[in-house]
Amino acid sequence: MRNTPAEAQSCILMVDDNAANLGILSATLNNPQRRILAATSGAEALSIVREVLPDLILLDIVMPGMSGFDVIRELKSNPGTADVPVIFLSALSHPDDVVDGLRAGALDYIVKPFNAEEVEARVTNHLRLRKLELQREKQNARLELLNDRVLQTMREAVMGLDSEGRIVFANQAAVELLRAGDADALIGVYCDSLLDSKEPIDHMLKQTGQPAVHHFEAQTRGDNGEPLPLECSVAAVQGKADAQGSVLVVRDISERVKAANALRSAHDKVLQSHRALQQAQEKLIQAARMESVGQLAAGVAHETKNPLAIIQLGVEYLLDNEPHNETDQQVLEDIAEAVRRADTVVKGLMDFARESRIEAQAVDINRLIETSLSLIRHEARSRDIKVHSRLADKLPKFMADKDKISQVLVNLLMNATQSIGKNGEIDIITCYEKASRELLLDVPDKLHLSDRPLLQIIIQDNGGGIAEHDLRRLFDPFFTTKPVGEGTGLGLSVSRNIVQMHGGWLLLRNRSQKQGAEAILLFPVEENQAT
Amino acid sequence: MKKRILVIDDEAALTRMMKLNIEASGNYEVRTENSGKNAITAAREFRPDMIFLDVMMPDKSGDDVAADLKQDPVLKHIPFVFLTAIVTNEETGGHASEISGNTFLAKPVKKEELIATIEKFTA
Ligand SMILES: Nc1ncnc2c1ncn2[C@@H]1O[C@H](COP(=O)(O)OP(=O)(O)O)[C@@H](O)[C@H]1O
Ligand SMILES: [Mg+2]
Repeated sequence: MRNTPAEAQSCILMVDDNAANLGILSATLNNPQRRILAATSGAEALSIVREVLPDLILLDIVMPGMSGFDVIRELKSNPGTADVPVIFLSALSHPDDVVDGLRAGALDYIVKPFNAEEVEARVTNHLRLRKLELQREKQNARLELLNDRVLQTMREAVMGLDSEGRIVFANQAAVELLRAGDADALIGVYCDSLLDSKEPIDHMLKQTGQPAVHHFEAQTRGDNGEPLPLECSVAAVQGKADAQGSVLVVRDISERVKAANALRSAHDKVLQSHRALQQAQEKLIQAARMESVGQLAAGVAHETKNPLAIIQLGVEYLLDNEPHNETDQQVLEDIAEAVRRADTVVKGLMDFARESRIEAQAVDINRLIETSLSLIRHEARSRDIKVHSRLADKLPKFMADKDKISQVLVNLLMNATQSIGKNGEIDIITCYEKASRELLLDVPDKLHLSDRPLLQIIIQDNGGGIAEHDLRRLFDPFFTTKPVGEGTGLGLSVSRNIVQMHGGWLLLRNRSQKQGAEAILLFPVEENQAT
Repeated sequence: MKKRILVIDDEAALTRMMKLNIEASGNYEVRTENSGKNAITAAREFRPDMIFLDVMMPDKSGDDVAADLKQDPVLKHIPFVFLTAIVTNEETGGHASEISGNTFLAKPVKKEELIATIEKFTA
């Protein structure tokens, strides 16, 4: 290991085979800020240099053994010493000699015999230059380190490109963004092969004039091959006349794009629920209106029926109280008829105000199922859902409100298709038999549905089934697990009401053997109507 | 002796018509009362064999009068029938009908039904 000269001191090595010369030189240069070393041969000089790296070497050319040229060649061939400044000090004064000396790598050439002041001035200058040189090197090293730190800590990917668009350096962020193992894997790669941009990068750079920095969007592939949106900036590193390459900065903006998309879809959802709210509000207003019609009807009925009762009884009293002539008789009968008509009108109003009633007629339930199926067939087909029916062929005549039962079937079939979503199967089964004991556990006793054959309609799906904790709430009005706008939560409660109006019961449960849910409709049928 | 019928309804013209029609048959004596509040007093004095009771009366509803009747040691055995304007004839089946243990007649009531009901309850 060589020692470097103490910080404050400059170290000068004099090499001359003539000891007298060394003495004069030493006297000339001596100064407390300098440490002066001397060698009387080239070999000695090199061995000193191996120990101590001087800031300046004053080298005689003509020496026995190694010449000054040999020494400088040796110094230049070693990277550790190549930078040490050398001044030739020689009696060879021909301009060719001077040129040879400078060509060999000397910084300066002083002809002997020398002028002491000139030597001193030149040495001082060279030492100062050397000092500056060392400082600059140190600074460069620091800057390089700093540069590297900055690049490596940046979140943005930074790459240097050569004039052909090949990567010459890449920071860690670039390595990560471009899914390269390490920076070396990126070196030499054409940047365009990693980034998809609308316009090739070198095109952008070749555009003359402003702006010096081009911003553009590009894409690369993420871990799973998904496209990652990027925002890039590229600037040419300008030489004197033409570009010597460029610096490219790349930001991954997928989070930003994702956030923007999320914001947009949240906005859509707000709009959607706003619309749903509006609809609900309209329904409420409608319901409130109906309720006040109901109250109005009751009031009208009360206020109308009392006078009607008075007229009715008055007319009847007069009719019974003979004798009257034919005209009186006719008048009284006309009044009685008018009372009957007015009573009918009031009754109609009350019926309208009340929950609508069922209009029962003999219904062929299998036919009704076919009709209801045709209403959902399109929906089922578009979801790749197959519907199979297994309908018993001897079923009793069923007194029911066709439209309302069809409404129930459509509700249940829609629930089944919605639960399946896509690609599945629905089975519809009808039969006329007693309900199983297990099934009857869920049927209110007061319906008296046990111990007698029942008309049963079963709708099975292979969808997601019902979550345990939802089972009790399925029939609550407005209970739904579907997104706003898709479910009202009224289907099952209305359906059960309708079934109850027919004296029957509606159940929904998970299937025991298979995946999915089943809806079961139980209807009592009068025995004598069985065929 | 004629059977006594008490008719309680806030509508005076209606009670008048009922009295005329029921008494016209010759078998009954009718007293009318137009205040729900006075119903019990009237019943105590008159001791009817049967009572017609309007459901909706402004000072005291038929329901409340009925509850008092059932509580009264003297009156509790007297049968009563509600007169109502808000149940339709169709719902009562056109006859006096039972709804949760009580008998209702829908207005406007026909003389024929009135007499049939009285006969049934005073037999
Ligand atoms: N076949 C089925 N499979 C699974 N869950 C169902 C099925 N039918 C109904 N449900 C559940 O019952 C809830 C209420 O149904 P419903 O009253 O018809 O209202 P909606 O269909 O509008 O949600 C549904 O949101 C769903 O959670
Ligand atoms: Mg539904």
